[in-house]
Amino acid sequence: MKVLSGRVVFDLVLLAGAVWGLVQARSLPAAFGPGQIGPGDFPAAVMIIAIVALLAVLWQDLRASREEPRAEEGSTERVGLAETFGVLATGVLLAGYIALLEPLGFLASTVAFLFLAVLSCTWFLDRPDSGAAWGRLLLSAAVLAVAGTGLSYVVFTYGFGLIFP
Amino acid sequence: MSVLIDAFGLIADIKVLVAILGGTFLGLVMGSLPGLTAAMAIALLIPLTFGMGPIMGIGMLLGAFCGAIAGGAIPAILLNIPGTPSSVCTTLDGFPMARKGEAGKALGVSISASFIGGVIGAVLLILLAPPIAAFALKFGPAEFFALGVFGLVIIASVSSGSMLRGLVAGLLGLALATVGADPITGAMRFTGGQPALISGIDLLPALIGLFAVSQVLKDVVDRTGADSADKAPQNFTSARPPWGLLARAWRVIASSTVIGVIVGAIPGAGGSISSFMSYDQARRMSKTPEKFGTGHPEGLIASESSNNATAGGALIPMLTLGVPGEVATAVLMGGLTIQGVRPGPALFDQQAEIVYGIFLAFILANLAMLLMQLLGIRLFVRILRVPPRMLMPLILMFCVIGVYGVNGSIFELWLMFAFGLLGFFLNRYGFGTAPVILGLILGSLTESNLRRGMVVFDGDWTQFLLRPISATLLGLAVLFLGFVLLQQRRDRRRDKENTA
Repeated sequence: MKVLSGRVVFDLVLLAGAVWGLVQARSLPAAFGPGQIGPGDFPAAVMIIAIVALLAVLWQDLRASREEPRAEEGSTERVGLAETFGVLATGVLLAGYIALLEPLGFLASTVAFLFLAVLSCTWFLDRPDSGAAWGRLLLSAAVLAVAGTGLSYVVFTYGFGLIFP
Repeated sequence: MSVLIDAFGLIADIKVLVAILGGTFLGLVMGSLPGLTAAMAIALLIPLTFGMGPIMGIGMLLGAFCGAIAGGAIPAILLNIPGTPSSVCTTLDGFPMARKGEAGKALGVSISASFIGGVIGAVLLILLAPPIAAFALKFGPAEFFALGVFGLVIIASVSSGSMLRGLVAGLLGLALATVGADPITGAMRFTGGQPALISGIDLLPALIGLFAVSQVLKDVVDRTGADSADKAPQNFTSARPPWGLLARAWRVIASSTVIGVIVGAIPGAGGSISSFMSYDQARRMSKTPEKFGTGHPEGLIASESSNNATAGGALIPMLTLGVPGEVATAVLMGGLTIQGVRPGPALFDQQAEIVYGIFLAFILANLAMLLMQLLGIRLFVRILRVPPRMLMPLILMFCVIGVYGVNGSIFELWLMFAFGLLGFFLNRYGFGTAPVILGLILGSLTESNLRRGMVVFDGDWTQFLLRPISATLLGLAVLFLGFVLLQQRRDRRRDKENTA
């Protein structure tokens, strides 16, 4: 019996966030007069409703994963290993792009990101089946990376006055 | 009248016209790519509008809004894949027409019906918005609080699946809206000592993260291992507006555009609902109802004129009350706010020339949409063939450029990244991202007016229920919520019966 599905884990993460928010809201200064609303009152009310709603959602999800584990297995929500790696790779590439934007500068980081992201997306979405096709892909990824970066740099720097690192 | 002349002055600028054309073009490109919605098109364009004046920037966003809705019909007709949710109904007759070798005719009908619907929607917007805004000028804190609550109730209907999950997502948005310095006491709330959060969570990283980054991540999951052999039929010729056919279908156009504007003006409804309602109405009125669903131009006219008229209708509550009725207008409202234009009744009083400029820009955007589609239909069809493996990295690059380009802040890029991941999981587990944005936008309106009202009414909360306008709005919110609950229960029962 699989109770800790991704859905339940996500509910628990949101619930933990709401509880943390409630604790934070309660530590804020009180209202300045009787019958008034202080800085922590509105967020505290939001967090309390969120906790109640999340408990209800969690209850629903736990019941669903207990009663219909097979139905859940067959649902479109279930994500395979390849899809998970696809999302992880895209997320890591984007995070790397953000982290390297200032140290490497816009041009180098963008060229590297576009080149690697095209290869990564191709690997997960539409993998070539021959060496020649891989060769063509590497060439097209390089062209897209250089042309896309250059064009964006010119348009945004000279057209819109943006200042890139 | 002088306001209208001033507005003409604002619009009659070559830069503004180019911005509208550019926005429309990009909207058409985005709309014609399945999976990329009008909301995403607007979110991605917002950063480009920063260096522009208000009318120029807003014109570009309105162009993207109109273009994306109209562009959604292209893949709906050629591939049977609706480019945007509002073009789902277009597939019913558009795709059968294309399969019969009438792709050119179907595109021509769609383009011209979209234009007519959009222009009628714009005219009704111009006629209806000012009196509604004049009425809303009487609003005080109690009324604005009630309006905020009414807007938040919309969350119930924009939640794609479970209302409870939509509520959680909306509450998440409300909680995020409280981040930053408290507007009344100045106390720091949930900033974690991060100076960049003192002024609150910036709307742009949230919008781009929730609507663009999360969509790319979702596409990676959806397309991995999927058959990518979709190809447009090769038998389409030129797409020309069949004006004679449209003239004969004037009753369908009239009823569809009116339904579109009314449904669009109702918060929580949207283009997909209006197009199905109009389609149904057109079938009832038709002399040949049996042809609907087999490639009947009347069905296509009903769907496309209605969903484009919905755009005008959706602008009515957004501009007059500051309440976005659905996702695309919520994002558009975010764009206007970033431009320094705060939608709401005071806008009509304080910046009337901007309001009329928006009206004129909206009409021009519809005109640009017609011209661009007529001249560039072959190009938009070609765009359908851009492989996702090339498109996704480019979209992510534009997300980074857009967010970084505004404040040059790496922190905001991380915020965008976090919202992207959050949006991905919210969508995956049925919470949806639209309620988060509604909560984020309406949170400060609701909280600040509740607290201001409590100060004004000396702590007497019953005043919120006793004032006629706020009581009416709160009552309407309860009624609306009850209606949605009832409808969801009915849908669930029908689903159960169907599966039994």
